[in-house]
Amino acid sequence: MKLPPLEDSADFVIVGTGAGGATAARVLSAAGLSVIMVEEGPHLRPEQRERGLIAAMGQSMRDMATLSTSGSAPFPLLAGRCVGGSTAINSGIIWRLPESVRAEWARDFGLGELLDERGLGDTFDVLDRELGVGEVAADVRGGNARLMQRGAEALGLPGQIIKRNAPDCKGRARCLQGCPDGARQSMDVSYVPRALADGARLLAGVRATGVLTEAGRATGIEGERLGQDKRPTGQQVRLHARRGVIVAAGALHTPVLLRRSGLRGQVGDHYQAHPGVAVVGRFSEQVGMGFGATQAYQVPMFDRGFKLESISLPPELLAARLPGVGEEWQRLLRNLDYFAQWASITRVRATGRIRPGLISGVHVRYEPGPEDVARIRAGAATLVRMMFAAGAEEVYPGVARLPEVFQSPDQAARIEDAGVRRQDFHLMASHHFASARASDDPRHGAVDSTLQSHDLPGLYVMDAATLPTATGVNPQHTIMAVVMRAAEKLANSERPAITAA
Amino acid sequence: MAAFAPEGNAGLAPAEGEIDYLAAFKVMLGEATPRGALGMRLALWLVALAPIWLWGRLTTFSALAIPRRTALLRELLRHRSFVVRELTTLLKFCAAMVLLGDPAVRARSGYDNVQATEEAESGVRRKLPVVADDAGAPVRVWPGHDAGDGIDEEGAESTREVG
Ligand SMILES: Cc1cc2nc3c(=O)[nH]c(=O)nc-3n(C[C@H](O)[C@H](O)[C@H](O)COP(=O)(O)OP(=O)(O)OC[C@H]3O[C@@H](n4cnc5c(N)ncnc54)[C@H](O)[C@@H]3O)c2cc1C
Ligand code: SF4
Repeated sequence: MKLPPLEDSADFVIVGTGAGGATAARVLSAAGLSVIMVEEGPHLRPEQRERGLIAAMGQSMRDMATLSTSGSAPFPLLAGRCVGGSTAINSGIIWRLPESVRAEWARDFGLGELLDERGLGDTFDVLDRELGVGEVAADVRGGNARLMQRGAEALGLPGQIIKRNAPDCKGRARCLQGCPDGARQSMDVSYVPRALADGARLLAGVRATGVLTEAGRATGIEGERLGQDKRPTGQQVRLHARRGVIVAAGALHTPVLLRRSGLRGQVGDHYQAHPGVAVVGRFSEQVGMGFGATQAYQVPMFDRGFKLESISLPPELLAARLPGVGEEWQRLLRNLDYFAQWASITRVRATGRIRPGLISGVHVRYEPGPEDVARIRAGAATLVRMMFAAGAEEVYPGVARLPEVFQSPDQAARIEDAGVRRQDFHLMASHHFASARASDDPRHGAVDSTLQSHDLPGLYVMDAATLPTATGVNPQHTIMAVVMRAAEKLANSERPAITAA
Repeated sequence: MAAFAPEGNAGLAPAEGEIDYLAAFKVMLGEATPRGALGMRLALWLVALAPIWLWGRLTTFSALAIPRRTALLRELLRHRSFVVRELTTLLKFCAAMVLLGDPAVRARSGYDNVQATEEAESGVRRKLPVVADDAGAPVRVWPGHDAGDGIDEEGAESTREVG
């Protein structure tokens, strides 16, 4: 039976409920404007979050982490797909935009007003307060982080306790599956409910398929309602926006929606990510990765282009990372509480391109360049050295064509060898940027410094896609601060209503 | 996939048939992008026919004795070709997801051996000024999907079904 189409209207229609979309909804609805949030994924309560990874990833991770770059050596690109977007499955690490990057964006992209140093600082203060940002409490740091601290201190590296937005974290190391306590202040338990309390509406399980236009302005979105099986039910959705359409589908999907809606120009160009690698070490003392904040200790090494973090992953992923098969693999698997795992994320220079897939989905062309690969090598080698300095008995570098097991820190140098190629690393990326970047010059950006499209008035992009480049640090806070400032400006502006739908 | 962790002396893998690798593999296949699903299928064929193209022996993977299967997988995981290596790793990843997703195997792995301290379990450290999920806000999920009970029509008063 064909279901009748659904229609509704509001001042603003927002596509996506992640860091960007939820922040826009929080600001606009607090200003008394009517808002409809549209989210492709489901609305999950904390207690509905599954512990097992297959079920959890099916609930809230896009495509079960199989979305990858194109080309001969693809690597996975992770993103959330549920109310809260990627914030619902991230680790809640909080970083303010480094001053050098802020200055670069202000200078090179004409974003001086949006990114005014003092104003931005004040916005970060608001976010910190509202999301309970603070250092991970000592009792939930866990063994994985404790060992990393030991390794960093032994080598004299600039380590520090991570700041997160999880003030009540109980150290369940389950952030990737979604916090079962709602302790981490992801958007699904913070700004989305806050916007709802201010009168916003949420339409979960609806995929936006295009931006509606009238007389050269964006006037709404069309979409399709999805079933529990994630397939279209056949019911069409049309949402009219009296004042503006805000696309916040994330840097991977925003350009797809925009290009499918006929926008071109810079849309989909300049994509960047933070490719990451992980190293595992076996210790003679119990590490206990199963307890502790998912990420609690970090060593930022911005001068070298990378940042190191402790990362406690679910047992399924730790197991996949251990070398060997058969008896040899199982012997390691029997002692999962004796392993530590740390990662390096790299600020790369390469830019890529995002286009809609041939039939559906996303096509991402992105390849780190030689300078980027040198940074990746250096990050991985530093992790190996830190592992041994922390007392690891052996280290699994996870680099193809090198020994699976390193027995001494001297072997770290082998990773830095120029012969080690990009394909030898198991890269993955969960920070995505710049695929509809902001610039006052339409030749360099898809949206202007108010985050409005250069080509389609009434259309705004408010997510990671608008950040002009990779930040070099975990991006959630920057995305939220930029969007909060742009949305406040939008709420305060006296724009005439577009249609009287 | 069971060949990655066959029943043996290590005492971790469950007895044969205890874990339904195929059902879990199908779930993952169903969730994957078309390209990802193609990769998973290719990986199965690559391994199934590896004795032929790798060792030049006219037999399939499933016809090999367990130790030979293990040896073959080890070789594939270390193969010089990125494609061979990565596709086999993809299967190992799937095997790990299924294996450690089993509560009994997880318990035997020791992953959860370190427990939360009482202090960590005791709850609120700082009061937040944000509206928590259950802080009284009428959650107007308009007519969207709630993972628990399907559709929640509360707050749908402004929605028109047309046609
Ligand atoms: C595993 C993981 C760990 C991370 N850890 C951290 C961390 O610790 N700290 C940090 O700062 N950052 C972290 N990040 C990155 C951070 O979460 C993201 O940068 C941020 O959430 C991006 O915000 P966004 O609004 O651009 O997109 P998202 O948060 O991804 O939200 C986009 C939303 O749009 C929805 N959507 C997409 N297309 C459509 C459509 N057509 N119709 C309707 N809805 C649609 C998606 O389902 C999704 O919910 C992590 C990311 C991942 C994946
Ligand atoms: S580590 Fe903390 S924030 Fe993350 S899931 Fe566990 S309790 Fe929640």
